[in-house]
This record gives sequence, structure tokens and C-alpha cells, in this order.
Amino acid sequence: MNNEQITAELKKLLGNDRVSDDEKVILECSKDYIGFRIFERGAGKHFAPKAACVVSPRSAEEASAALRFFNANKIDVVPKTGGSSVTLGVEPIEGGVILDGSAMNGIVDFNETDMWVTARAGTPLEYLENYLNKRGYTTGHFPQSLPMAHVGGLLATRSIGQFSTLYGGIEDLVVGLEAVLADGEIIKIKNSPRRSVGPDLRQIFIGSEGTLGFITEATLKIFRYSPETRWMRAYGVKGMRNGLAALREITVGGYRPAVVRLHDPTETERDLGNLAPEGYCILILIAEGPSAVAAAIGKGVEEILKNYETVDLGEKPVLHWLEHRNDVCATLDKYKYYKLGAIADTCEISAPWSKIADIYEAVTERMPREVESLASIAGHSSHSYVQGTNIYFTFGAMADKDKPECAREIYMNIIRVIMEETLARGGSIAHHHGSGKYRTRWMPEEHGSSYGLLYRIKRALDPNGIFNKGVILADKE
Amino acid sequence: MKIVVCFKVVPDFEQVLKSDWENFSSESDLNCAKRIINCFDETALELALRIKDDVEKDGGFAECTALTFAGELKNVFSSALFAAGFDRVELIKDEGTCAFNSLSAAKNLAGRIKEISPDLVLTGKQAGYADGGVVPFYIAERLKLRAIGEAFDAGFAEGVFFADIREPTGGIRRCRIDEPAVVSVGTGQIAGLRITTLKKRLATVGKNIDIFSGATACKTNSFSEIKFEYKENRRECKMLSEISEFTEILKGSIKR
Repeated sequence: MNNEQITAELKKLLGNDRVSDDEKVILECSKDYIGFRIFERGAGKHFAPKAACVVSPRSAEEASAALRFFNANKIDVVPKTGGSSVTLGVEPIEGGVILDGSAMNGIVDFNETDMWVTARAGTPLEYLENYLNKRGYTTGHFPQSLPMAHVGGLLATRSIGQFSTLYGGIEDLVVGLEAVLADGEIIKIKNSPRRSVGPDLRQIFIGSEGTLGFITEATLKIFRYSPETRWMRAYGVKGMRNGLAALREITVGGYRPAVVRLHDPTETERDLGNLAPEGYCILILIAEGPSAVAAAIGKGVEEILKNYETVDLGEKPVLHWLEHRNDVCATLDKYKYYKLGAIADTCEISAPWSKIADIYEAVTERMPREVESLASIAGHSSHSYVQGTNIYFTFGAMADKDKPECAREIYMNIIRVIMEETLARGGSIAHHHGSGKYRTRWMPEEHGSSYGLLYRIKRALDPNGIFNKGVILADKE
Repeated sequence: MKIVVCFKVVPDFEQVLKSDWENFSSESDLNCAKRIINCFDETALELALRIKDDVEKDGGFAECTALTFAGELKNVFSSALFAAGFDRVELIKDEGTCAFNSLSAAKNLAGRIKEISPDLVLTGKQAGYADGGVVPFYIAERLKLRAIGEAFDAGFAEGVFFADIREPTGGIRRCRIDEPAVVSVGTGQIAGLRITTLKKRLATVGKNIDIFSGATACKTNSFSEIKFEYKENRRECKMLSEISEFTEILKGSIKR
């Protein structure tokens, strides 16, 4: 089937208003915010593959009808909702179809007794969070993409929020979900506080990045929202290795602040004002919940930090971070870095406590040696666990504005260094952005002997391989 | 040829807390806000480097000095300036509370510029906050040099400097600068100071800024009261399906 035939058939099936082959709509829905694509778009270039059309179902039934058609005709389909991907996770396959879930939006059920809310896949997280805040609740889920993200994408990418040390990642927040399989079957995993009835089927879809099904609805936990009881403090901490040791002691010591962020000296000097002495990191902490709990966490953390060469910076740096933490979303399409001839982005990894400082040092030491046009390399830890933490590397590199097609090579060279050092030292290569297409080549090494299981699951659920080709699973052919 | 650019590191006002905007005074603690070279100065710095490039392409030699007054200059800025191509980075220390005193800033800058005796002085049109854009003209007055205001571009062609100026009426005029002058740079077409590679910045280790004592100490700020208007970027997240409300929001946005 050619593009025109696919579009015509889909219009017959779902109606003209559900299908668009307008070039502007296709380009907008194909947008990915990976650093080199932003650079290319700054130059007015669009190197992403072109889809035949965009399909926007209004219901699981319409999505089911569309998927039956794709499956019968073996048409490649890339699901998306909010479109805040930074991994090439929502870029289409040439001649395939974009299945846009953002028209399936709205809150289906708000249950204060059972403490959950059910929302359709295209519901913006910001809308959901505002809705809950007005009623005294929160999802506890605040990714930096909050102004752009939709519920379906949060699940599909195994998202995490800035308050994760208390609330966990999205995998800890999903109570139940609805999805449509490649053959059009609609499945519903019921809401339950916990159950022991076989493997947890929710986890098949959470983090599957649209390779195993199309999520149409999710039920999320809610929590009482009481920002007024927060304990907030910032500290200067001497050196990254020392700072990471302090984070370990906080989490291993049994304290669960909602926010635990350690910015390295480069980020501190560059982005966080005129606060800490040279060579110091900034540690940002927020504890929330009932006031007695928040205050007790604060007291315990203060005691711990006395042993780690810290400087108390007060509450104000935390207020700054809270007010400006998601500003980046508003500037993504302004091509600020392209205008200066630079590619800028982030890349997140995770590792156990025993390895994380080694990975951070190995990457920041090796990168300037190997990437000739590197402009900066820095990082921060923003999500901590009893067993380890993540590092969110932030980087920039110079690129030729007249040759935007070369930006990808420079960019992937940077990613290669991060992936190699992480794998060589026992870390994991993606903490919360997902694989997308750009990290797939490192997935066999990441998963090791369990990688084959992913192919078996894929064959069982999507035998024709129509869902999000090239993401997570390397094409064996 | 010698070029001096006056610049100042300031808080990024887009990063200042809403509560600080609302209660702004000369005593406000803005230390938490990210530090940047102010936007007009950044354009002036980049223009100086482009002129230097052009002079050198023409077979000449140009020495660029970046000069700042008051406060501290962190390594992140000095290394960026050295790596970008500045030959010297200089800081004039103030002995008093001069951050808001335009006349004192101009006196101190002019004192050092006189010693350097440059062919061209570039400054951002507003060297610090709340100075009303007068510093470049105070400098020119003290040095008895020609002052050129509202330049948006500057360069070097056919052996002389030039500055392109926006006229109040909307036109553009090119000024030939064939004798030393102070050029006040306004909103330019340049995205900012060139970014340099980390390797280049690391190579500047050992290059130190030159620190001078201010000749003129001051004790007071030049303004007694300042009020900023905080314009909040209101953001509302609504479903398109809430169409009646959406129409009202859209109407409101159009009016704004």
C-alpha cells in the first residue's frame, strides 16, 4: 500500500477528521527533542523519516479499529501522546503511520476513598495535576516535561518525576491500565492495591515505549497535597564523590526526602548563581508530607550532612529551583543553542552506589579527550534509592551551522562515551528517558542474557512487528 | 589596534524569583539567580572579536581587552573570554557600594581605559541594572571621545571601524569611526558571545585576570527608589473540549 492508499483507507475507516496527511501536521507530530534534531530544525532542515499520515483516535475502540487495519496490512505504527521525547522514540518509520493518542483525553474517575484517579492517555499531566491540586491531592509525579507530557507517554517511557525519592517512578504509581494490542484486542488490567495472581501484567506496558501495545487509559495513585508543610534546604557540598557519599547516607539511613538533587561543581558555577565556594556541589533537598514527618526528615538529614564538608545555603536556592525547574520546555523550539552553533542535551544513566562516582569521573574525564568539539560536560544526581542513584549528564558541543547533517555524528559520539563507560563499570544506560531509537544499539549489552526474552514477548504480542520498529529491540535482520 | 569592551556580570533576570521582583531594592539578595554577562555587553564582546577577526584577516593586529568593574569575576567567565579570543581580562575592584552608581562606574572604567589608550571602546548600552544607559556616555565624556549610541552592529572594513546605528525614526545609519570613539551597543542581531570548546577553555588555565583598584570609591547608590514591574507569564492548561472556556481564553490572549 502506498501513502495515499493508507490515508484513504483510514479515512474510510475512522472518518476524515481522525486522519491527517497535511505535511505540517505530520512534521509537528514527528518532532523529537533529541539535541541534534533541535539543531537540525534550527537550520530549517527536517531529516526525520516522513510518515504517511497521523491518525488520532478518540477512543480505545477507534484505536482498536485502526490497529486491526495496520496489523492486517503490516503497516508500521509509532504511538505518541505529548511528544516530549528526547530519544527518537516517537519519530515515524518512513511511510508508516503516527498513532496520536492526544485526542483521547479527560479524567474518567476520581476516587478519594481508594486514592486513585483514572485518566485517558492523552490527558496532559499538567491538567491532571492542577485538577488534583484544586482538590487537595497530587500525583507526586513531576517530570521536567510536565508542561508537555501526557499520561500515556509517561507510562510508555517509564517516566520519573523530580519528587521520586518519596513517590517513586511511574511504575510505582500505576494502579491499573487499559491498552490495545497490535491485533486490535482491548485489554484492561484492573485496579487493585496489590495482588498475587501471577506476573504483574502492568509492567509489560510500562516502559515498553509503544513496542508492545498502545496505552489508552491509566489509573494512578494520588496523595494528599500539602506543599505548605515542606522542609526545604540547600547545601554546598565539597566535591561530587563526597556529595554522592552523603546522598547514600541519607537514603541508606532511612530518610525519604521527596527531592534529593546533587549538582556537580560545573553545573553549580554555571547555572546556580553565586552561592557555593569553588569546587563545591549544590545539594537541594525537599521533604514533604505531614509536617512532623517533613520536619523529622529535615532534622535527620541536617545531622548527617555535618559529616560531609557542607555549607548551609538556606531555603532560597530551593525556591529558585522550584520556580524555574521546568523552564527548558518553553525554550525548546527557540533554537537558542543552534544560533550559537552548539548542540546541547542531557543523557541519564544509573548505577549502584559502589559504581556511580567512578562512572561520573570516567565520563567527565574521557569526554574532553575524545570529543574534539565538546563545549561542556557536567552532571547531577536527581533520583536516589537505597541501592544507588542516577547521573544526569548535561553536555554541549560545537557544530557547523551550515552542515546540520553532521550534528548527529558529534552527538552520538558523546552518547557513545557515556554508554561505554556506564556499561564497562556496571551501570545501566537509561534511567528514565527510555531507549528510543538512539540507545537501541547498546541494549543487547545492557540486558545481557535476558535480552532474548524481550524478543519472545514481542513476537507473542506483535507477531507482525508493526509497533515502533527500532526502539529497544535491535532489528536482527 | 586596541579594542576595549566594558562588560558586567549580572543576575539573569529571567531567573529571579517572583517574590524578589515584587520587593526589589538595592539590598535584594539575588545571589541564587544564575549569573550571565548582560545581554548588551555580550553583543559588544562578540562584535569586538568579529572586528579582531576582520582586522587579522586584513593582515593587521588587534588586541582585545575585556574590562569589568565591581564585584567578582568567576573563572567560568574569565576562561570563556580568554578562550573566545580576548587577550586580556581585567577587573577593577570597587572599594564602596558602587554596584548601582553609574557615575562612579564610568569614572573607574574611564580611568583604566585612558591607560590602555584604545582605538575603539565598545560597551553594552546598559552596563549594570538601573543605570539608565548613561555609563557609555559618561565614559566618552570623561575621555573626551566621540560617543555613538544605539549601535546594533560594528565591524572593520577598508581599514576603518564602523558602527551601524538604529535611528529613532526607524532608519539605519552606518557611522565611519576614523578616530577613537565609545560605541554603545544596543539590541543586536547576534545570538551572544561565541561558545568555545572545553579544550580551548582548559588551555586558558594559567591565564589570570588582571585586577586593579578602583580610583574612585563611592559610598552610595545613584538611585534612591526603584520599582520593577513583574509581568507574570500566565499559563493555563485547559482541554480543547472545554470549548466555551477556551474561546474566552483565546479572546483574552488576543486582547493582551
